[in-house]
This record gives sequence, C-alpha cells and structure tokens, in this order.
Amino acid sequence: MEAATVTTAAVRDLDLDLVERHRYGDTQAFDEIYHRFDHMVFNLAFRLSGDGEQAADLTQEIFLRVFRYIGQFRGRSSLKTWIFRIAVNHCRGCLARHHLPTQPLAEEPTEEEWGAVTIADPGRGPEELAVAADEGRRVAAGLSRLPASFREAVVLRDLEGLSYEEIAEVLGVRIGTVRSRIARGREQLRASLEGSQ
Amino acid sequence: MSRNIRVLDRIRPFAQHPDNELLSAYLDHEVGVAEARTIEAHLNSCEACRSTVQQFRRVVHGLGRVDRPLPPPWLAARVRQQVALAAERGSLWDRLGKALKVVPLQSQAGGVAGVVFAVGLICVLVTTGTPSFQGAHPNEHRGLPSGLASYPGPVEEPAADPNFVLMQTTSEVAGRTFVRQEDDAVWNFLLYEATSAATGGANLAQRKDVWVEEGLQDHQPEARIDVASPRGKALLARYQDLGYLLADGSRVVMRYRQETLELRRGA
Repeated sequence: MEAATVTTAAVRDLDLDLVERHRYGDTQAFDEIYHRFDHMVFNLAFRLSGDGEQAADLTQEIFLRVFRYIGQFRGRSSLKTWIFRIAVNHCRGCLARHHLPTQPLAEEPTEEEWGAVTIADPGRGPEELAVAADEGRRVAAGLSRLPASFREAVVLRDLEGLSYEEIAEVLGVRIGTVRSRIARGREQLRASLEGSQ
Repeated sequence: MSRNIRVLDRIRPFAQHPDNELLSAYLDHEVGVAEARTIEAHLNSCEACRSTVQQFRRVVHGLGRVDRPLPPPWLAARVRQQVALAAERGSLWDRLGKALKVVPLQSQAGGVAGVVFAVGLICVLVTTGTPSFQGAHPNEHRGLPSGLASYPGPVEEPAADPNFVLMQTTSEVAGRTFVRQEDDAVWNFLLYEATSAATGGANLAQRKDVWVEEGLQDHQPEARIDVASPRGKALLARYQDLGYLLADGSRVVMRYRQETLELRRGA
C-alpha cells in the first residue's frame, strides 16, 4: 500500500513537472505529454467510435483541447484521469453531434494501412495466436454493441486498466455506478458472446 | 492483531447470493478485505456463484485479448502541426491585446477609438485571412507514409479552421440539446485583457466554454448557481449528465422552472 502511495505521488510530481515546463514555454513538454497518452486516448476513441479514421480525428481534437486547457491543470487528479475525462467528454459530444448510433465494429485498422509493425510473441505458436486473435475480434465486436455508458466503463476498466475510483473520476459518477456499469456491461457482453457462438 | 479479529468478527455469511455487481467487483479486487472474505466463504459453498464468477473471469480474459491498435504514425505530426497553429493563433490574440493597451483608454474618446480600431482590425482579419490562420487541411496527411507526414507541403486554404469545428459541438442531456459556445470570443478577450491588470490576471483563468441550451442563445441568465451549493447539487442530482458538461470547467446555461440559470463551478 505504501509503495502504491509512493508511486502515485511520483506520477503526480511527474505530471505537475510536465505541466509546469509547458507553462514556461518548453515545447518538448507537450510532445512528452502526447507520447505518454496517445495510445490510451486513441484506443479509447477507437473503442467509442468504432472507426479508425474517426478515432484519429477525435484524438487530434482531444489533444488540441488538452493543449488549450492544460494551463488550468492543478494536479487535483492525475494527468491521466484528467486527459481521459476530456477524451470521454469530447467523444460523447462529437458522436452525439454526428448522431452516430452504437455501431458494431466493421474492421480493425490493418497494419498495412497505418504502416504499423506487428511483433510476434515468441512464447505463442501461430495456431494459438490465431485463436487468440479470433477471440479478440469476437469480443471487440460484442463490445462495440454494448450501450455507450457500459462500453465506456468496461473499456476504461478492462482495456485501459483504470481503478474504479479513477473511472468514477473520469466519468463523473459515483463508484457504485461504476461498479454497476462494469458488471452489467460484462453480463451483456457474456450474453452477446454466447449468442454469437 | 486485535484489529484483525474485529474485522473477522464482522464477517457474516450472505443471507442470499451476493449480486453480480459484487461478484464482478470482487474479481477486480475492488471490495474490502472483510467483504472479500465473506464472498470467498460463500463461493466455497455455492456452485451457482462460482459459475458466475467463472463466467465474468472468461469475459475479462477475452477482453484482454482485444487488440489495442497503435495510433497511425502520421498522427503525431498532424497533432504537432495543429498545436503549433493553435499556439500561433493564441500569440496573435496576445499581440492584439498588448497593442490595444498602448492606445490610451483613460478618456472616453480613447476607449471608443480603441474599440473602433479593434473592430476594424477584426474585420480585416476575418475578410482577408492572415498567414497565422492558414495551415494544411487536417486530412492532408492521410495515407502519406510516415516520413512525409512532417513535410509541410503546399499550403492549402482550409474551407474552415478545423479548430472552430469544436465550437459547434452539441450535446444532449435529459432530452435537451446544449450547444457549446466559446467564451473567449473577441469581445470577452478584450474585456478580460483590459481588466486583467486590475485582477492580477485571475479573470483570464475564468475564460471557459459555455454550454447553452438550444433556444436560449440570446437569453441572459437570471441566476448564477454554484454546483457546490444546495441548489446546484439538487440540479446535478436531477440531471446527472450535466456533470459531463461541467467537467472541464465549462458553464451551462439552461432553463429550469421557468428561469434561465447559469450553472458553474465556483459561481
């Protein structure tokens, strides 16, 4: 518990240090912030929008908002939850504006499209990797069919690894609500996966 | 030791099965020590709940296999470019503010002259555009190999500044549509700039977006309510999703009981 507290304090110091550097005109600071959180923000946007291109646009807009408001960050929460909160709010606003319903994920973006490199896991054989990838795709499709409020909570917990307290902070709800949304999301996902088998 | 005994004393078997929320939270280690022990004791004797936990575990395991795609490699360059444009735009407003301070505002005539100068300058900026507002279209780099993404390329006149798209965001809360408006419009900026010396810059920090309920764009709020006040709390309890709009410090203007209210943090 003590180690966790020390880690949290260290992360918070790092957050505040980055923000201070940005405030004093260090242009590298925002670059560091971007590279620290771009994966998380992009993945969140991708799971909430269900579309790679749109996720890229949302990520860009989210970081513009972060750039604009970062001077107001006072370290009352971690920078991670602060950015996630902006990200969730922005995704909600944009997706509502475009009246996008919850859409099943059509296709994951391919590595060829974005020039990403896949590193093979040496500990797993090709068959096992294929089965895991197939299961991952089925679960991702089920996830994209969940109601947005459940999906947000499940993504933040099971994909991004946030604690219930952090999720409550990001979504602006009580921990009891987070607990309920995660459980109901998982139940619906289980039912959806059983139905698709 | 005695504290542990007291914790263990509180452990009582469940009269009924624990609900799924509790079992799901137990799986995430998000229950207290005493609660976890009670659940474990129950699971040892209840096949149905063991099966539920097992099902949750399988779902969580499946979620662990969901691919986490990397952001496209060209995105960093695009964000950097947009951020640079935003910073440049910010500094343009700063320069404009400083230039206006040079104009003597002590006399009424000076004030009027300053306002006329500002309006003229803004009209010129809006009608002709300036290099500061120009930039590559956000979609320009799509599909480019990563090495080319940072190459500025030919400057294309955008149909609209992509940053201004953010101003038109709408959101729905409790069946009402809220339209986001920028508070740091020119007039407010000039006002904030002109008075920032007196307030030590504190008023600059107050520049926020405003979510205005559709149809109330021209209404002046009749009351300002702090979300921490009893009335503010009551409103948030009734319309929980308002919290999302207020989350980043924005204000909300809405109609409630035949009154136009402005909801904000620290009113």
